[in-house]
Amino acid sequence: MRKLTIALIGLMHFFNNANAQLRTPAQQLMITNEDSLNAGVVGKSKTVISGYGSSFYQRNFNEKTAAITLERVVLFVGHQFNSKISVFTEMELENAKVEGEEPGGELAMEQAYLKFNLNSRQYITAGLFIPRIGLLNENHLPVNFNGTERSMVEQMVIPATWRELGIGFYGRTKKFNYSFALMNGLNSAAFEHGRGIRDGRFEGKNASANNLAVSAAIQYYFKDFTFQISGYAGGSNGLSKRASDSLALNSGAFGLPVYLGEANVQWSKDGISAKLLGAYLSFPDAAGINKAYGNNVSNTMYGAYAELAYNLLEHSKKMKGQQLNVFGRYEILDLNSRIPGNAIYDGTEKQQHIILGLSYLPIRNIVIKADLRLLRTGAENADLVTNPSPVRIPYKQNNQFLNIGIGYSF
Amino acid sequence: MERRAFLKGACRICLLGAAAATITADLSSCSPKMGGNNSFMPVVKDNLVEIPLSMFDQQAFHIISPAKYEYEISIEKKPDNTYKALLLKCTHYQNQLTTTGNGFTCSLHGSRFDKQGTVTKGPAEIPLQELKTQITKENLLIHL
Repeated sequence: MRKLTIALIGLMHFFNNANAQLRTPAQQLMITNEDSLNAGVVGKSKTVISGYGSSFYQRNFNEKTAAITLERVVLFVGHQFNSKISVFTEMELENAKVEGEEPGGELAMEQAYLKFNLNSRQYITAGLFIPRIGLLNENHLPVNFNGTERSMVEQMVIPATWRELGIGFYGRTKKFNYSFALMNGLNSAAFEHGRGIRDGRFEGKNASANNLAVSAAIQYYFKDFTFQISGYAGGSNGLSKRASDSLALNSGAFGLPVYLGEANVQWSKDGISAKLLGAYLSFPDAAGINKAYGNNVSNTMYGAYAELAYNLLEHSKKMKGQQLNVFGRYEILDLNSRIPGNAIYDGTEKQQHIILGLSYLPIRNIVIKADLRLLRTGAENADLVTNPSPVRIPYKQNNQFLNIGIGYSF
Repeated sequence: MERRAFLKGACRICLLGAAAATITADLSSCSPKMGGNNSFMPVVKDNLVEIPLSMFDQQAFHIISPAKYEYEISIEKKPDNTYKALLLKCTHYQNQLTTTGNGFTCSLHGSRFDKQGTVTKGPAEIPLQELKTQITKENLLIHL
């Protein structure tokens, strides 16, 4: 019996060793969160793999339609070369698959940059990165925000997740966090009516570097509050001077500038949390772009929201570690708050949203969400309705959406 | 004319960069060397950081920034005269953490930790690494 026990232990030891030997040198360097927890080697890992994802169902009550999609799956891979230099990448697949010549689906790099630690308080990033503008742009994991959908203001006025190629400098003092970034600019020729500046982002793909942009942010922490102010200014014309002159557009590094200002406050204590955010965007040369490309864009747009949430399980001893957040959010935005003389006003771009919902987190990195979004817009402008489909439902200024979703991060 | 516009733009950026660098240098120099909740910058020698125990006479909680080291360390003196030192390195992606009013946060993916190093918000799953401490006659030694 003793011999058999020794033989079994020996066999187990052999398989353990054999398993370790079968791993390539790269695999042996790669440590997941779980591995590091089990092995007690926190902080010694070289390569880290993690990610997040979300999926949701949406019912549109006016259209009487419903849709369900695997909204996004994002894979992070990071590697620490030494204590001073590391690389971070995030690859995102939207709507499950990408097929040639079919609309929908997107495979894109969300971030890919080198990080150089200068000291314990300052570092530089270089590559494709997300500048610090708004709340969701930097922190967009589904477990970290309420609502199945991301905030409308932070989708339409601040086009999260907004990344560009450039250099960022991050640091902090005793109470303040600060960041500066120099990036490629936008492409205003691609701005589309009703979509803010979203379609003018390059996101790392063949960006024009004729035009540039700068952004800066300051964060301040005080007790249970976090305050942030951020700003962006950048040229949106990447054409040469000759091509620009032919279209009567200004050129240069900051030609056709876009300015975006944002401020937010967050507060959290004893399971109650509140957020307040406001953003304002100005595009003084909208008239020139409308004249050159006829894309009906506006001079200014704004958005703001307020959110209040409470974790019903905050004081539950039986369900410690779980969260059941009930929340309400009010959002207001107008993507054509001021338009040039050659644009057509669109009342549907002036919107108010009320979102009421629940987020249940059985563990910190898993979330199940359900919410109802009530939408109120201005009136539709008949001048903008061209070639309507014969089965088109007359536009209603009020609509409701039921959303149910799941999300994870690790 | 095009060259002039480019040079003009480049000069503006240089000026902006210079201004940013100046502000940054000023902000860094605003950090006092020691006292209260302020940062103390001890030297790392043989993977050890040595700080005077007298730092804790007035305040039980301090953040230190060891010179030429990539991460800060939080140190708390407990009522039983023991010390808890936490490495302010996110256990998710090894990013430097920022001290907030009630704990620490990582700007990379939004992980949060309380002052005891416990995770309060993901994606981090593992508490902050606690560093071994040792008390001598007048100093506290922290093993990195």
